[in-house]
Amino acid sequence: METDRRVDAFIRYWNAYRNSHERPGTLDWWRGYLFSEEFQNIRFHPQVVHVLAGERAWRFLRHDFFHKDYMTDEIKRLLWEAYGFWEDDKTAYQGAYQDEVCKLRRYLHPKRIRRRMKKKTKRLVRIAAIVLILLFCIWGAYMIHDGRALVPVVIALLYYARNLVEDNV
Amino acid sequence: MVIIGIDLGTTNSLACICQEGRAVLIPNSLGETLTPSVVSVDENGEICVGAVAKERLVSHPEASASSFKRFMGTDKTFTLAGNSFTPQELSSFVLRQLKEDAERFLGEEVTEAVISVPAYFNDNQRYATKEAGELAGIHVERLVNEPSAAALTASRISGEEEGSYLVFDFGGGTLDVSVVDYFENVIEIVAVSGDNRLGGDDFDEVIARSFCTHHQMDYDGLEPQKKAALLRLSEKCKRELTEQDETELVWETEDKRMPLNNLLLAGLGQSLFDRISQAVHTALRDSARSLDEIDEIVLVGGSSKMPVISLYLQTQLKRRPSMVASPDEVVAMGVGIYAGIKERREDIKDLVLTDICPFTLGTDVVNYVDEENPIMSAVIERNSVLPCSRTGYYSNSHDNQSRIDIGIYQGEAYYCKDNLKLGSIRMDIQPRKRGENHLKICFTYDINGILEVEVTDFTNPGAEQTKRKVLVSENLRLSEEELERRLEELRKYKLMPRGGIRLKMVMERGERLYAQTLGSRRMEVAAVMKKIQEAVAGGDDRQIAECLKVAEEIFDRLE
Repeated sequence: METDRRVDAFIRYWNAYRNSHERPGTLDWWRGYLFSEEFQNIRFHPQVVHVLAGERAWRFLRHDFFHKDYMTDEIKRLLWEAYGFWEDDKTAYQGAYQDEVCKLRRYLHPKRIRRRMKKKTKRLVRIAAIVLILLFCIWGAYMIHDGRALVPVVIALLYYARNLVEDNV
Repeated sequence: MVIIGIDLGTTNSLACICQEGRAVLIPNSLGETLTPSVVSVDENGEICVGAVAKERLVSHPEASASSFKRFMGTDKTFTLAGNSFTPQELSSFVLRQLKEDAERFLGEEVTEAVISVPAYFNDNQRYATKEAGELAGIHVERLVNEPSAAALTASRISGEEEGSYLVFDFGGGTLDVSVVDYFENVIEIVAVSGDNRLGGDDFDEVIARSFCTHHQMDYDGLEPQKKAALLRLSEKCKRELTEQDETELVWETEDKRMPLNNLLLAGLGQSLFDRISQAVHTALRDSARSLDEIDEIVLVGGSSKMPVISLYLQTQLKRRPSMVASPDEVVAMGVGIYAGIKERREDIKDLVLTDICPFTLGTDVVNYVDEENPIMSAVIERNSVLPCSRTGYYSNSHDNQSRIDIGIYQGEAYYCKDNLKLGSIRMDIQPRKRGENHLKICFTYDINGILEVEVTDFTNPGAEQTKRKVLVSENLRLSEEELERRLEELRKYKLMPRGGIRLKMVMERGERLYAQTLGSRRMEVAAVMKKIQEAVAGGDDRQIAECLKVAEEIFDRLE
């Protein structure tokens, strides 16, 4: 009975979080809740795992390129710690719902956040390099022939720069 | 015993094996790795598969069939020269041909295979694929989802052991868009979306229809033979546009022509692009991943070689798709590698390929507004990782019910009537008031697509009664005897002997070209065919081979 109440409460909290995860202070509350006895006792409950690992669980997240990832990465990190997952331990979870626990573990894995951050940094460096080259070329074009080459050079550079930015990083 | 990987495609099929940790594609009797998924019955009652059958598709459309994969798992039949075949039987001929090619290549008998299927295939379609394998004398070790196989190839080639892939599989007849995650040696399909009625063939039809409109002709009113010829020419133009910017469709007479370029094709296929866009965005939304998290866009399927497709994806997804290998071969290579894993070869690291349930599975619950029209209650949601087991709790909907019929459905629609009914379980219960009987319905769906449904009446603690049903769709499953009978029936159809395939193909091609051309070109075809016939009558193998080589060169020029 107590377990059911706690599970229902968790589902309510999670649904509320989906709409308010960007609000200041939300993470502090979750930090307290995830490590409390209330959540720790039900963390491997099938319904709880299903809510977190299910196909709709994280659909609310925004991953726009310039969006701050801190809030979403932080909740994943908190859940990872609250579940007590280990980076190298992928087979420790047995039982009827082990597939979902493993799926959740793979989704929350910190390596993913590190990889995404690395990609993002690489992309930012690439954009910065392209902007620098672009500025240098514009300056060069401006200096040659009293700036008569400026317009065609800028058009050509913008076209190629767009393609370069869109390339896989 | 060697296990081969087979990519059973709508347009082309391939076989692959794993040697020294690498995928090796198996060539057919013509030395090509792609075998067209076309079957034809010739005048002697022999079964032609592949390039020969593809030639006969134009000259003998009534005796040939293609794109039958689209109808797998349905009760549609194809009549070829008076013989009736199911899609499974036609697929079994293709599989039998691939098996023979593999046996010749390897020099040993092949009895086991891993076959790829679109992730979007439902239970019936998957079972039909297994059945096709059995009819071809192959034990199907496992069905592998095409996107998983593509992601496996992509990761092997790029050398990246981890990543997220958007696999855009645009084949001849189906489109599958999947988000595949490769993490810690687990390949997991996160989301699938697609349209199993959309493929490169639709672009051929779009071109053919446009040509008919251009020349005030009624496309739907064309005779089957003429329609097939026009579609073949349209396909040729489409292929030419992958290598050049412009081409021209010329049909029947020199004055019936239509210029075509990629820009025009993009305009003609606008409605098809809308459907593509819908599938891509559904997959991304379902996966809860943004483009930022996708490491690579992998193009799969011959039709994705079209520049209009990669350009469209580039515009939509703001990045260039990568072609890790030939899009025709990506899936086959992945299945080949997986076959190696199944063989437990030491040179390949073990890997887990998770399957997902492509459709929602559930039961019917009463619709109090319209009792005749029950509502679907989902138990296992689509994209759940397999194997999985889910439980739903239900109760009686009316007072004094003495039994409950529990329908088991597959599909995404709100009303049960719009979903596929897989079966039902009847449960006798003690008459009580509405809501007082408590039932626990447990769905267990395993990796082989077998659904087990267990219903437990736990109204009286300590006196629970349970009924269990294993479901493998009712009407399409074959019994042992039925399978044996059909195997016996199919044995009477012999595949064309390997030695004569090239000769047959050139002759069929000649017949087709003769029918398609006029004037001096037709005379040239006739002269070449006469030369071949004379060489065959002479019986000198070297002369025949030389003659065939010359004929192929001339036919290539005339195409």
